[in-house]
Amino acid sequence: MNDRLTSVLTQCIDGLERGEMTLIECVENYPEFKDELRDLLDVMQSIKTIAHEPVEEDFRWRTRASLVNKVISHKPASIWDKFRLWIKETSIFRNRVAKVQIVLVIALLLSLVSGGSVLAAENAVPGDFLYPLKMFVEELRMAIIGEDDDVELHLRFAEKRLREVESLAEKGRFEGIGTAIDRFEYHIEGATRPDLADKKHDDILRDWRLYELSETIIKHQEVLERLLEDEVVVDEARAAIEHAIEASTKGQAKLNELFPEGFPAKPPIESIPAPDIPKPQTEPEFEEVPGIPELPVEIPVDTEVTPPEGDEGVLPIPLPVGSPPGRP
Amino acid sequence: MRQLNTETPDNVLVKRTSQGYGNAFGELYDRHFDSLYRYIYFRVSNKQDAEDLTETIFLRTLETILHKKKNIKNFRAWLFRLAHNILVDHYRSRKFHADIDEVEYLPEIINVSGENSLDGSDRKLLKDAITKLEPDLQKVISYRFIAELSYAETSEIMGLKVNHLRVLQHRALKQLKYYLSKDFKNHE
Repeated sequence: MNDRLTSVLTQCIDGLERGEMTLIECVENYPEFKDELRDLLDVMQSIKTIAHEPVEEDFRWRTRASLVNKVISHKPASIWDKFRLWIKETSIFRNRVAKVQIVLVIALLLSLVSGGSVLAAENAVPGDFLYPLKMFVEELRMAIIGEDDDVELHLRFAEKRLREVESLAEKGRFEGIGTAIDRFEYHIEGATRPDLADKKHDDILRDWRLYELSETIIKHQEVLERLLEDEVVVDEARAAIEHAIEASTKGQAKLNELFPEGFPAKPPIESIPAPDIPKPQTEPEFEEVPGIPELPVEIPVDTEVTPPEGDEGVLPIPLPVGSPPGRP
Repeated sequence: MRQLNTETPDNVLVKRTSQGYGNAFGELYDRHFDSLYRYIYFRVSNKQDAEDLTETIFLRTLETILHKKKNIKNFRAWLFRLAHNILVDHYRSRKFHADIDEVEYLPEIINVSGENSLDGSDRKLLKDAITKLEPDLQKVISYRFIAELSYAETSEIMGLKVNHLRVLQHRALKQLKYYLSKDFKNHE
């Protein structure tokens, strides 16, 4: 390959691309490569010509709008989302046994380090000093537990948030209700996430769980509406509770979307497969011990029972007369 | 909302996209759509596939920016590397070629439609000639003259030095010139 020609060709292509020169000008600048240069640049321009295919403007703008909307509607990942992603992508956490062991070890370490604060935090409500610790432990559990259990944990935690709302309302600490309601909404969203729709609908246990989910949401709504009727609730808390009712209504609507042909009926209890309990082993037959006589099948009624020798003089113990002490 | 202009570098737009600015990604899309679409269309020679693949590439790009918060230094080079990987997957799924190395070659199906200075038969001849090139030379032609990437971007995607790339560019044009010449046609 001619190095000089390569260099000249590069300069010409650059000049043409930048619009600084024409093909003729370029060829004239390098008469020693005149013919070869013209042929090569002709080929290049032909390639550029075939590359220009018309684009459907409708496709271009529809795709653009869809992508821009995705950016706008995207919720930035929280630190917990990142943590959960890290857990998901870490191979050690994929093993179920390892997961349980890790949870136990972390719980033990936290208990040791915090001196039982984790246990004490269990009853904390928003605004309490230990409430962030309670949230941390919950997030840790959700991060480590698998996705199927995640839904159940979301449900359980949603119920906890509701109890916290009730507790706060009873104590008149309305300022914390908003925090609990936000978390409640987060858990309801987590429990009704769209990928449930991909699961098998004919799975009885799953239907059962979804049925319970629906019942739980209804129960939550009832509690929230009861709180709303309470005259003591201040306006700020009232707005938060109304927001929570709206959130749980949305959750119920999401469930309905999962089952467009009708919500699965409560499955009969007998249809739930029984756990696989191992059958007991057959009882071992008693072996006959030599020297022990067989019992008679039937004892004759008229047989006279005689006391054994040496017991003739023993009298029956007399019963005490009257009421026992302490009783009338 | 911050104003964006044509001077805003790609990596700044990537950063702003990751912060949730929709117009930043819109700007990236506008900047790179045409060249990416041209490149994809040239490789697949089918309008529907080209549209589907272009959309997939932008969607994957967006997901990477939003979820992985990846620090992309040279966005254009990164985008075309992703495009190449998605094309490889596309060929695999269509079973055009069994061997991954052969994916580098253009498919035999040539689209001869179009409205420009070259007539249908010339276009077909040229595309046929390009399919005869070695994979690396095809890549140079695709990136440099179809997608209109710079030397720096092409060299980054192909993992070559710029000088080496210039030599390959020269060789590719020279071979194409030969494949389009009367000598080659007579030889065939």
